[in-house]
Amino acid sequence: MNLSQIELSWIKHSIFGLMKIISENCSGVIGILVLSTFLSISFLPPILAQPTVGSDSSNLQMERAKDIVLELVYDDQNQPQYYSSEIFTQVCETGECKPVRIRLNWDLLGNYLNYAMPKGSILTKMDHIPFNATDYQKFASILNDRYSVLEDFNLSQLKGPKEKATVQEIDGITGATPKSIENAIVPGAVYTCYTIWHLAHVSIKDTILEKSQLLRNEEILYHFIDHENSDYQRWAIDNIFQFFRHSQQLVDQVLHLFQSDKVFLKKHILQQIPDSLLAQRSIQNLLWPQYPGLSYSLQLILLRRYSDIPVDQEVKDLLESYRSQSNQEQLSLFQLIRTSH
Amino acid sequence: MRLYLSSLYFILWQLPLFAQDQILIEAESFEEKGGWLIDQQFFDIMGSSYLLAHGLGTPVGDAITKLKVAEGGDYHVWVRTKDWAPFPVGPGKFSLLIGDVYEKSFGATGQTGWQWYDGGLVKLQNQTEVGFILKDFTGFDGRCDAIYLTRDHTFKPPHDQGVLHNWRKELLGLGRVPKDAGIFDLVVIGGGMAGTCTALSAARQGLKVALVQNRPVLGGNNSSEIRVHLMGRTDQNDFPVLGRIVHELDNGDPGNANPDGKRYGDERKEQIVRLQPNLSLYLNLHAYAVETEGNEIRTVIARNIETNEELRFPARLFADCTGDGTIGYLAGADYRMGRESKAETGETYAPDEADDFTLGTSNLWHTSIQDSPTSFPETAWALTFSDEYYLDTDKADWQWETGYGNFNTITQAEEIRDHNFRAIYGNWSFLKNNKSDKYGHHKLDWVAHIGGKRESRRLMGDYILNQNDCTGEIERQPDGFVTATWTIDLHFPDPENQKYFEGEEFFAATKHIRVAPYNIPYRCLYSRNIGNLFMAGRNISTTHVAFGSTRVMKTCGMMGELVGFAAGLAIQHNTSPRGVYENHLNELTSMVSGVKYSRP
Repeated sequence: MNLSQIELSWIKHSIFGLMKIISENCSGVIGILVLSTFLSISFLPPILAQPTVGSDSSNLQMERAKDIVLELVYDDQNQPQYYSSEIFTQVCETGECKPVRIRLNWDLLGNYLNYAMPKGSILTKMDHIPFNATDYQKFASILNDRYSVLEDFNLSQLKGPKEKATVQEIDGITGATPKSIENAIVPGAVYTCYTIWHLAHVSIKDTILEKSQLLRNEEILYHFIDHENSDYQRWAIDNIFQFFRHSQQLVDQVLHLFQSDKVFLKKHILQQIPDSLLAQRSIQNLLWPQYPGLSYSLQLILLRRYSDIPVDQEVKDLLESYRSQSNQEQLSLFQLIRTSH
Repeated sequence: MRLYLSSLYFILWQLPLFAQDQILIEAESFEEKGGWLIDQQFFDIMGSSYLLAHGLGTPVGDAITKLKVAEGGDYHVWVRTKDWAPFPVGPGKFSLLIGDVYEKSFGATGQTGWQWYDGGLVKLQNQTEVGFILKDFTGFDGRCDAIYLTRDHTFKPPHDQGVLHNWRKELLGLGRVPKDAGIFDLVVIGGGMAGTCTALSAARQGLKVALVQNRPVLGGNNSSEIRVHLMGRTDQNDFPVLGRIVHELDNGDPGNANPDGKRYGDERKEQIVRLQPNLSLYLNLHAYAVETEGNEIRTVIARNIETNEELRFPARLFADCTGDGTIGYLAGADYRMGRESKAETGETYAPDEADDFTLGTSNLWHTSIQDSPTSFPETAWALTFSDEYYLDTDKADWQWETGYGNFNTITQAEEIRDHNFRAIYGNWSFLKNNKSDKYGHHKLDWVAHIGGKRESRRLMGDYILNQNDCTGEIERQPDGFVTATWTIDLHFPDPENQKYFEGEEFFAATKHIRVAPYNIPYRCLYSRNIGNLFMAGRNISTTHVAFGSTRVMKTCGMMGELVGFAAGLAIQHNTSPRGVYENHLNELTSMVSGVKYSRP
């Protein structure tokens, strides 16, 4: 998918829905900023993707993604909460399938959250038969399966040889459903399932991640560093180490996490912290006294990170006191650190 | 043990070169095992079975043996063991006691790998009977391979695998050609579903068959030792004759990791085999060597996993049902391991580049609820869990799996099993000590010490099944007889697990890619370059992707049934497995069709 082709509208949609930001994303940066009060999302006409008949399936996907309108929803603390999009799309190449109108929601890192049917919209199967409750239930579980086999198919593979087609297997147009995806679709709605699943999990994720990079500022990072979602915390840590390593306050905030009992977050910090920070005396004085209380795997990461970074004499002395509880591998790393300059 | 003692005396008295000044005691040959278990799984890598103190955190009972010392003096003690979790120091501490004059602990050194550890000196008296005791301290899988005593204080037992192997054989008196177990038409190596079905099927064709299994029970992954249920369907068969033996052996579906091991039907399987005329069952024998002539196997040599006695199995035909393709590998059969590239196979599910990725190995486990609270110790040496990530469950299922190319499923099979242990114990310790509201009354009842391995070598046949056979893109082959129904089920590390344990994942996810029922060709079931070698089970001739579908046990069993028929024809017509395909395919077709063959 060519991100530069993606046209996005951003709506800062607080609970009162007051602000709208439209960006024309020709070069991957926000181009135009329009503040418009009292303009809610309903004023944005959904765009119907019009794929070229006969285009191959990857082009079709690209066309669909191109016309997605993403909205950023804020919580009542005015913090970004999730992305949402009401999508109106064709689901098959020929235009014979009934177009689908559906709302999809993603978290701020592009992970699919859930879907909702806009008022008056329904999903249909072959011959335009409406989904029943069981179909909707299955559809929800299909979308929730991040690792669906649908990921590995392109649209052209959804059709088998025509002579194998049966009424039960088709989705409004001729073509048999490959056996291999029968469990991953609602019977009679293969194109709908395929198209919406790809929109939920594949086509949009990178776009959202890119957009989230544009949200990056100190306020957001402070908000994320203590977020209950550990993915957000990792995102914040990565961004602080990459772009805000000179911000003492933000770095301190990260290192504060190192005092917690979150072993996996501590591991992430030790793996991602730049050498330039590890070389700082204040950070050495903070990390090394905690060494005995770390799990073995974290001890090894710390030792390896410092194996080619000069450490203070105080740290070297401290390491000596840890020798007695160490195994061969640790001792060899001690030796490397002791002889580093 | 009478046998064992006599062999010890043999060492002591019949080999005067060694008897006077050195003693080798294989731990697995201890007269009383106490709570220690024999583990032969890694024989091909480390050259021996060993004793494992698998007490799930409760020390196991002492293993005890006695021997008569021919000549007294100061002996230097060496113990071959391994700190299996040197992170930084493992929990497998145990003591060796010799008489009432010696005690020293081993197993928790922080060093990696199997090693001979220097146990210092012990003074033994002339012509006295001395007791040797292995005393476990923790129940956390301490292990002992062998104990060696020597009066040569400058000698250190060999570490190099090849040297050690020969040295060990010499001290055990195994230097000579082993005695023959008999003369067979077909020797089947491996007593899992595939091997058991192969042996039964061939014996019912009137062949004289030996079934050699390296565990005390039959069934392999479907045994009470591993507890994986039988999957794949037998009711879609184009050739319903196949699947009948699978039905006989099938003891119902207890699911995976059922607390009641009996439900997996070890006894049923063994009884069916024992009642079968023409079929000789050899349990507890690990086949580890072959003798070949030209491109054919002449004999297979197997060693008892407890007594270390060896037997030799000559036969006209062999069937490699070992899972690892061990016999084929030893004989020089062409094989593959890992994933082929998309360019090589034309499979859409193959990776762009070939690599070493394989599916992994599971050690299943389960718990029970007790009347009163139970405790489980902290496990600093195990994997670490926290509220950020842990597995909130009281039993395992198939997802508990280590491998994925992080470890080689043959050369690092022990590391894989031990990694599974560290995941299980670490997670359970977290649940017990941090989630006591939910798990306070739970007790860890069972953790399989035998790994359920999914994938390793695939021996190449005249036909290599691939994804397009499974999905019907390729026309059905004239020798397509074994109907397979399971999805292409290729596991990969669960992404959440990967996020927290990258490079050491132990929890799997999968995609079930449905297949049309398809038929595995007979040509996948014999080696393309070893003239008298069949195979059945997970080590048949497929690509990695197709293996994802063929590997389930009912399907593997039916492969074995087909091999049994083909072996019957091969013996009847004095031809090779390939000769059956080339010259007797119609006859084979009739057999699996259940119709009488009429010569055209």
